[in-house]
Amino acid sequence: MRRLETSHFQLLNFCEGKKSEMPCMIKADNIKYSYPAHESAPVPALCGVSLEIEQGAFVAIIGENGSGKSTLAKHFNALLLPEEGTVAIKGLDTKIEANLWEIRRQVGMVFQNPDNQLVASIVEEDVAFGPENLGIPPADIRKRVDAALQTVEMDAYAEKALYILSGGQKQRVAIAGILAMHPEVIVLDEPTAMLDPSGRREVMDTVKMLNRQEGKTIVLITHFMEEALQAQRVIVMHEGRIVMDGSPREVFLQAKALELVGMEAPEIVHLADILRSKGIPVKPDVMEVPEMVEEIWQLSQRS
Amino acid sequence: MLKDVTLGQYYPGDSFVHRLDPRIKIILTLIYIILVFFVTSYWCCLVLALFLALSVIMSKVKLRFVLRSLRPIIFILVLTFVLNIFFVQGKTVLFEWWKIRITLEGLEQALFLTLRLIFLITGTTLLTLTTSPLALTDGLERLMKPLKYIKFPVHALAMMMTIALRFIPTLLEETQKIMKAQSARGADFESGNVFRRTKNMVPLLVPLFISAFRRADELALAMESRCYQGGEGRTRMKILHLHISDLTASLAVAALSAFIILSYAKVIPV
Repeated sequence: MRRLETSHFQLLNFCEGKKSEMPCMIKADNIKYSYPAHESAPVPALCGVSLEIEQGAFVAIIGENGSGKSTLAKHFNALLLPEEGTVAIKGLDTKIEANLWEIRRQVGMVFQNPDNQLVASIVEEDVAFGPENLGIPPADIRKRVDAALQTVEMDAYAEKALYILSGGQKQRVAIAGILAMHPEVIVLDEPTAMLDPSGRREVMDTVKMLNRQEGKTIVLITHFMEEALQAQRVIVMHEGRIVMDGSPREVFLQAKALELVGMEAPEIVHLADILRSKGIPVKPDVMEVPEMVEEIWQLSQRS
Repeated sequence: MLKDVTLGQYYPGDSFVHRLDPRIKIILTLIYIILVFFVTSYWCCLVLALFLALSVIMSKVKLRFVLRSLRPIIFILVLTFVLNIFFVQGKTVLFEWWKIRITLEGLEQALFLTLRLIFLITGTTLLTLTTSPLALTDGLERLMKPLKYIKFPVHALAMMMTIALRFIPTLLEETQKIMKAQSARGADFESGNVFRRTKNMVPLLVPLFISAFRRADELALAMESRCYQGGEGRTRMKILHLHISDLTASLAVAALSAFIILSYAKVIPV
């Protein structure tokens, strides 16, 4: 059988000195990676990244194009192996061959283009692809597929052909395909980049629900600030390094620092800055539209 | 829309023939193809025609769809018929003028060959009309399973077919997009002779190929992420079960085979 016993896995000395009481899910320790290039020196993509992500967290990784965020994500399920340093998933080192399939089962990955990650033409058959690869008995696969489709609210489309679905629906099917493998972590690499606004909302609602109700650890790579705002923790990457790491408030209120790394703070933070420069004393931590509406109303009442 | 091509010539339905197990349908069609070549008497022709008619009626596929499959081979049918009339020479002369001589044996031979071709095409068309490409792939994979003992890559082939089927609508959609984009830049896909038009396809094919390779790359990553490691140790969600209807269909074909083979061997005097 392919399923390996936990005792066979080589355990890394993981998550020393952790601050939270939740166990550590992903631990990257000073990882470096560069892409080979034709006729020139390799292009460095990650230059020493260390981070820990605990179980049940909802982490957003943002950064401009080429900042290394997708490269980092591919390290989380051993699609890429670090040239230096180590990545461990629940203590399983990604460099050890025997850990490979268990890591990929634990860390599901959703990609940007929904069309390029679905394998079968029929919704339920695509969702079954992962569990089939794991060698699970047919009756159990059926149960997993039905449950996964129900979770993403696509059960009505189980026997439909993929090409009739919208982008958002296809992306939810892709998420169901990952869920059916019963992973602990779901890494989403810009899952909404190719979707229209309603598709984006569908996917984000699903992702939030998976984090809150199913307790899945979520790593969301995105370049939409509004999406990053919904995470518990935001990591900003720039030129292969982590430059900021904190709660959305801590990160987004530093508009100047964000600009330096090619990112823009959410519009409301900008608006607050402009208002302040005009002499209107807006509170420092206003970030979302309803808060701003409330704040302006409060200020106008006072004056 | 170009998208219709996805369905191949599958005629969706829920009939007795549609519900048959794809494995059984493939095997029965193979037997049918062999039987067609044993048809040498008018009685056999009639029985086979009746069997085919019954199958078409039970499949609830419109007759027009079945007959449409003959359209591309009309030329071959006519050619076969004419050549056989003139070149097969027997003893019973029906008509003679200058160097042309038509005999009864030649006429019979021509008739049987043409009928065989018609039976062959309509019978196999019924298989593709009533079985979705997915079910066909699935059936073929399971039927060819024993071949893996002689190192034949059954699973890889089936996976390739599955992926090809999955990407037909995607690539068609992309083709349309590129065509529009290139037309907007002055590309011309319609005018000129065959060579010119073929040459004009280059600005369509190059981007299409590049994107297909990029898609293949991403798909491979996604499949690896979902623990794909070939057919080894893989299970399937859907298990095919044989039903009473599969048995009934098999018995019907067995009876047909018995009749045709026995009459071919002249055991039944027809």
